[in-house]
Amino acid sequence: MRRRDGRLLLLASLLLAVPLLSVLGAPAPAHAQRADDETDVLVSAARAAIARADYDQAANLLDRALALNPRRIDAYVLRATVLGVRGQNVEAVALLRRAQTLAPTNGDVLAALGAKLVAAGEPVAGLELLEQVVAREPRRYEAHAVLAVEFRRLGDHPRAIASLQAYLAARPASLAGRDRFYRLGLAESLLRSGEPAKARDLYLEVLLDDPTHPLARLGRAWATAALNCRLAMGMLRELGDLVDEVPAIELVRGRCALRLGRTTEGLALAKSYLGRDPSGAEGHALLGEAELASGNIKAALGSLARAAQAAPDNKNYLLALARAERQNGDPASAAKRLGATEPPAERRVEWTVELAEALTATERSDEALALLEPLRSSEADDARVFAALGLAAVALAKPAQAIADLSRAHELAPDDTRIKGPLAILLREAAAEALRTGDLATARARLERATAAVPDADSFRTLAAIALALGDARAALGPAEAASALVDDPVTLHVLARVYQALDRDTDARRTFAAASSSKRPLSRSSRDALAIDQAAFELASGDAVAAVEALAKVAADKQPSSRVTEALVVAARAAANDDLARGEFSTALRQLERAHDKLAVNAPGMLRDALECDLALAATGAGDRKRAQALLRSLAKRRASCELAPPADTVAVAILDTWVGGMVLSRAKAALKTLDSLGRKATGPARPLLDIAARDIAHRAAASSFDQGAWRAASDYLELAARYGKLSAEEQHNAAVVELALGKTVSAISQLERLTREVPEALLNLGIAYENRGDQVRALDYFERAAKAKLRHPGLAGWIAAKRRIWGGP
Amino acid sequence: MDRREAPDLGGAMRPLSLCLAVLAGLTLAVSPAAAGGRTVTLGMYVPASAFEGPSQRLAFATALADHLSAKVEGNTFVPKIYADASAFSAAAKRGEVQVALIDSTYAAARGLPFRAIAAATHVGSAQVSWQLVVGAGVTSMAELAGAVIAHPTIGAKDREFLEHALFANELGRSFATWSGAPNPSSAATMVGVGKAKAAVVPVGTKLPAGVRALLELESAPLPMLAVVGGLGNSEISAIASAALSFSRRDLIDGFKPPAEGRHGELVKRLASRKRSPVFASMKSSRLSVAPLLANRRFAIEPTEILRVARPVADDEGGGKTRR
Repeated sequence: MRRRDGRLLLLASLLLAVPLLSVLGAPAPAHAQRADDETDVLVSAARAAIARADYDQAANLLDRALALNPRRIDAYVLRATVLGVRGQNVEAVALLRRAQTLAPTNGDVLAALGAKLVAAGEPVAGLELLEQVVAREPRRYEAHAVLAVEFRRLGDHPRAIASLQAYLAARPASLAGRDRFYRLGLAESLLRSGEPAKARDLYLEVLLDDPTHPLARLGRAWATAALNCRLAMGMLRELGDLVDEVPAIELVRGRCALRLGRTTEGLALAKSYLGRDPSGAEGHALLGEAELASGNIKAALGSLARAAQAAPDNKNYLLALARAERQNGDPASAAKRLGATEPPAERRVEWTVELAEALTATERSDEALALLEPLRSSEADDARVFAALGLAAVALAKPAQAIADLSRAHELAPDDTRIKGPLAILLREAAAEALRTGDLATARARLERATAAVPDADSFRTLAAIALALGDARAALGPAEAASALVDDPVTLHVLARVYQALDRDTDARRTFAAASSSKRPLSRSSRDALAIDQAAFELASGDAVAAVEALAKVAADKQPSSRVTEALVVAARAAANDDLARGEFSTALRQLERAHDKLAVNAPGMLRDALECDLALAATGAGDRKRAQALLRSLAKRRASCELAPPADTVAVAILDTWVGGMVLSRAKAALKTLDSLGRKATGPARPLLDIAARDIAHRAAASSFDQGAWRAASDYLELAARYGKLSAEEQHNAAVVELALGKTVSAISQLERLTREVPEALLNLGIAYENRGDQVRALDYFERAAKAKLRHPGLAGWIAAKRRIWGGP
Repeated sequence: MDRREAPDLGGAMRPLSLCLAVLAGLTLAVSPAAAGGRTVTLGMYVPASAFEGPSQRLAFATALADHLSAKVEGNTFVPKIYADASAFSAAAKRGEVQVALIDSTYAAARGLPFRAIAAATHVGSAQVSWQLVVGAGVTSMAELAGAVIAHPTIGAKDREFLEHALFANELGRSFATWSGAPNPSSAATMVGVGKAKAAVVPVGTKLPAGVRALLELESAPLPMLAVVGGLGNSEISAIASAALSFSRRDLIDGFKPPAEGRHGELVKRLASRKRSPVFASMKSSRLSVAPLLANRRFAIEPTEILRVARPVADDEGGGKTRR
């Protein structure tokens, strides 16, 4: 509140009149003078004249009384009062000094003398005398009243408060009607003494009697502003009718607006106030603070400098100016300015903190710490102190201390962004350090605190990863989702997908992996590889090996894919091909495996290469790619590689496959079959089926080749040989019938072929030929047509059907 | 009717070979159209073409020779018609013929020894369909089993042309008895007079009363204009070019450049395309190696999760914060 406020000046002047009024209203002193009757009459008449404000008459009557009885003490006091009313305080003091000579211990005289000394410009003597009076007679209310007014005038509000409270306690009931005046004074002094709550209660008491009382309205708003700006803003707005008289209302509103973060409103109020008082320091100070809050530091510096210039003794302005200088990147000036001045008592802590921050910013953190350390215990609940301590510790590279101090500051001021930001950074760095040493639990705790201070995607993501690494997938979910809500980068999605995977939420995992891999955001090669590998790992674990291969396709297409990618691709390709191999789809398996083999580096791990090439050899053999199979088998045999097959196939597989491939050529079929016979002793268990398959395939191929060469008998022999290694398949039975057909055993061939038409479509074609041979063109055409309907591929079939239809008739 | 081309239908039917022997070496000589310059003999051997008779053939040959004489400067083309293959072959060997209009079937049967420079066309097509014509009472091919079927004698590989090229190997070797005639009209006439139960003739052949088409067979190329020998490249080119501008309302109404491969295809069709039974390939599923692969477990080691979350320093890291 401003001391120069017009209303308060008026109030102060009114209060100065209190002694007079109290004396006027007070009953006559108790110790009656012995006087003659005439003196009594004169004094009584004088009292009556004073009561009706006829001071000339009173003065006359009292002068006459004193002339009749110069020892009449009450007449002295009354006469001094009349002199005081007329402003003749010096004369009043002289008169009372005479009375004091006559009655040195008379309380009335001493109290009146004290009051008149104050009024006559001798406050020290007056106050001393009055204090002696109230010390001896605590219920001397008029003395309290004068003391209160004078203490308020001197700005000694604590003593003013004591005097006012003593007055209100001692004043006679007859003076209760004037209590409002004293209460308002007391409220103001309380407010100025930092007791806004008590002040507000007193103002409210006044407003209960008179809701429109301007001083009380003003006081209540002021007191409320000191307690809660949000509540006060409404009250301050309602004081619009007083703004012209009390422009400070805009100042208080402006400060409250700034405290509430309403920078624009604060700026507007500051400018409005400056319009009323362009040279006033307070207006410039408010404007400066508003500009500072709005980030316009240069303008703030100008305004605060003007405020400091207009009121050089106002340390608040110095402090604000220094803060602006620091924020403007000139902490040295701020430190110099603050260091050169003794801080004001009421803002000592803030001053010290600001100076410490300026020192820290000028690499004088040791000095900052020295300034702040004493406050550590005395201001144990002041967030600013611990924030400044923390920042100084940061500058001194003492991260542990910095974290401790900033944590305490954060605890005290959880919303302060100046504290949260550095604290979060420190905690993240500390967490990273813990991660480097493998201390996951510590890293996790630090990151949890960091994210509590400032939510950030990197920390959430790392938290999720730590939880996963610790096997706590449930705990990982929250941070992972929080991270992905903050950023949409592929790394975060990758982590989230891994969390879903760990939680067996396959659909979510698949969707998230897909989103990560299709993200357009840039990704380093290693991250891209890791993503593809993990996606493939997930798909493979889900049982979809083909999807795993697809997941790796993009990174595997690199000119030189990383060894991890290649290894993952080999595993995925082998897994995908495994199902094909088991189903006998050798060509598909071969293609799949060849793609992975193409990517295999020369220096790939031997076991990886052996496993892949074994599968490749098996696929190439089954697919009849003799050249490829031979090359692979030769290489495997040279390395004495063992295959990843059920034992003992792991060791004999290469030999069996090699024989198989060799026997695919007719000229070597017999020898190969002989070799397989000898290998049969070793090929037991799961290896036996491989040997049998090899032998049958060799025999069947030899039969086919013999047939193509017109060697019907040989073909027949080979087919009989194939039968030794297992029951003849439908194709083999069919081919045996075909050999019979070729040998002219048409009837027998027809009988066998007709049994096989469902399983072997070629039987339909061969039946057509058989019936044609017998001259039965109608049945021949029927079988040819059925063969075509069965989608049998034969280059001449369509022409045969057309010719038959044309020549022999048909649909 | 010119006896050299008419079928001998008098009395008991003579063997076809005897008729051919009578006709051998006889040619219809025509005087040069103009004196002076080089004389080029334009031979014509088209027994399988459906000209109605010698006069029509002569008229056609004369018109073509005149056209070429007019178009190929400094050359006079003299037409010479051959009634049998041996006479034409002998004349060609002796160098008496330089350019000739030859049945494509004959040329194909001979392995295409002549260079075709133009293909004869009829209504824009260089192909002619063949047909099986029958007398009254025959309604299907099956009824012709064991019967005599007449055909124009081609001069080489007649049977292959008939059984392989036209009947697409559908007839067994002993299905019918083939009887050659000097030309399509004679073959059709044999049916009309009951000497054959059916005849194979090109579409366009004038059929006698009571003879009708039963089946349409495969088609074959129309005659080709071919260089037999003794001509330079420029002359060949001039003749080929001149032929393309020839036009006449006749069985052959023009020429076009020979289609590549068309005659080669006919050569292939002459070969037997015996229908052989086929082997079925063994289904790969029969080669099940599943027992070997049992209990295999495939797994990819996932990336260490902390490495995923905190990429190494040279990585771009986690991207920008979404606001």
